[in-house]
Amino acid sequence: MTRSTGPLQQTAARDRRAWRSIRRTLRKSKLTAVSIVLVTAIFVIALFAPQIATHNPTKGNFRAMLASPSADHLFGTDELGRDIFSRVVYGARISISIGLLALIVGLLIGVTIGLLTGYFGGMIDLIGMRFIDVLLSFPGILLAILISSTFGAGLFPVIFAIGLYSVPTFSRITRGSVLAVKETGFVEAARAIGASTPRILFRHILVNIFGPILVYSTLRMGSAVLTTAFLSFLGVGVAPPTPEWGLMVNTARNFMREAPHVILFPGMAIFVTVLVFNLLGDGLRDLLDVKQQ
Amino acid sequence: MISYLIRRILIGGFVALGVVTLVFFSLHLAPGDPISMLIPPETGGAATAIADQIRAKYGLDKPLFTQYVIYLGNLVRLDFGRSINTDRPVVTALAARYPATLELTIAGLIVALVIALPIGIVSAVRQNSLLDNVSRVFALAGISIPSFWLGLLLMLLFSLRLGWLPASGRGGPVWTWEGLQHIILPAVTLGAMASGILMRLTRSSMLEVLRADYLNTARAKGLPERTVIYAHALRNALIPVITVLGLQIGTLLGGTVVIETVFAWPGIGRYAIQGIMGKDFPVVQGSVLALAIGFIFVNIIVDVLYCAIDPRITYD
Repeated sequence: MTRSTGPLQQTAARDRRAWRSIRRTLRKSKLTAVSIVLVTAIFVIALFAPQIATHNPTKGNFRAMLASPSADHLFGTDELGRDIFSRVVYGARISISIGLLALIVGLLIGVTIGLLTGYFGGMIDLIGMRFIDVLLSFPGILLAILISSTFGAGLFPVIFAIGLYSVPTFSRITRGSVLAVKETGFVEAARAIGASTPRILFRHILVNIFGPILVYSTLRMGSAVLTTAFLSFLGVGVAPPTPEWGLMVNTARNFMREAPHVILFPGMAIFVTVLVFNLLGDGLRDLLDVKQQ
Repeated sequence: MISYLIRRILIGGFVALGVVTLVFFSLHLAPGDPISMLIPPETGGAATAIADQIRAKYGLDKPLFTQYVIYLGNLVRLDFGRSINTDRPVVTALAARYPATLELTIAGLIVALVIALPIGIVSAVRQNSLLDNVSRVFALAGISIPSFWLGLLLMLLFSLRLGWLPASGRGGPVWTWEGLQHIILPAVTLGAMASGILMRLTRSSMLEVLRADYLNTARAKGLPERTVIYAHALRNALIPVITVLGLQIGTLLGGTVVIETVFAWPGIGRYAIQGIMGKDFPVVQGSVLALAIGFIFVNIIVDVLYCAIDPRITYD
């Protein structure tokens, strides 16, 4: 029997090669492999919070206020006697959902602006990029603070604020890639056979920037979790008694002298989650060979 | 050079106008009128008349666009309005607080550079050594750690437990002993925020430059390795670092909002948060603008600084 080299087999062979190279890279970069496991673990904790938590995260117990960590309360209790371990576990749910939704908002707005400005150029490019400049000229989290304070504490303003905060990153990556890809042969060819503009944008250009988008989504996920905590810490984020990590640190900080565990564990949760997403983002960047922007 | 400077300032002005517009309209979209918050609801009919009077005083009864034009006109005359809660001019409060924020930002920047530059350089020169690996882990941790938490931990250790440093407030200007003691913890917290990114960038930029041919030329000339690295490589490696430094100053200015809240530092960031809590439009507008415009200004300076460092960059 002759070896078949049909298109299907070729694709399969290419896939196998790709997987082998990914496996090889993962073996070499143990940190990336570990971060994939840890990110999965965080998602599992968020998903199964009710099963993992040992107590009701919002129910106080006035007989056990500011209790130190023990077998019953793994991370101790806070100033209202609530179980910190359960609050931290439920907090993963809050942070991951806000992070993911904010990421979707940022991607939708950012990629759209990037596609339009990059592909059409001219006036659209000028206006779009100036808008991005204005967004970028807000120092750090000031923009998110402004939006959150405008619409009051609550989930949706926070999601929108944090999403908007990622818009410049995504629109710049998309625009840069569109500019690079626009003049290449295959886009020219697609246009020549009469492909419509949306088809070119989505089928030919967007698929080519999948790598950078994936890498920056992972990194933005870390920074979204961090910004969520910042806003809640400042009192313009999620409203109490939601078990949000930043909020937990803020409400408990007056008691940290007597009971340091009240700020230790929620802060540690933020730190580890952000660290793990950043590790994964760095790993993916090396794996997919995305240039630093 | 001059024409570039003018163009750069014009663009900066345009962006500043955009910031003003965004801040103005986003705050006025906010539900909840500050005046109705000042007057208790149980006062009834008589209060409505008073409320209208107060609204008229602050121009809140006019159409939004008219308010916007009046606001722009006032800004040009450096009139940021009066605080609704204290009735004091915002510009005076800003002027009183700007030195504190500026001092904290600069101190934070110095801390960040003192940590990031030497470690980043050594990390690159001894790539993959133990020191390199340890410092890379530290850089990643610096990027990932929530600064308010780091600040609280430092405060817990050095103020509440050991009693070495004051926990909060500003002791006076930084050149006094009191002032210096008070600024250490907030500055270290703020500097740690920026040092991670700067360290990674110094390292990667230095690694790239170390492979350049002109370094071999310099070595071939018989220059000592020290001169090759610190005079030839470092100067070229610093160019991308300075670009990011401009952006990092923005992060630092934004970071002051959080750090000032943690350490009760009497700067603009804390003033902004107080304004947000009190629904005090002019205060929030004024402080956000002061920070954003400061940031735009810094970036113009950074752009111009390039030519001092890299004569190859021209402004055409």
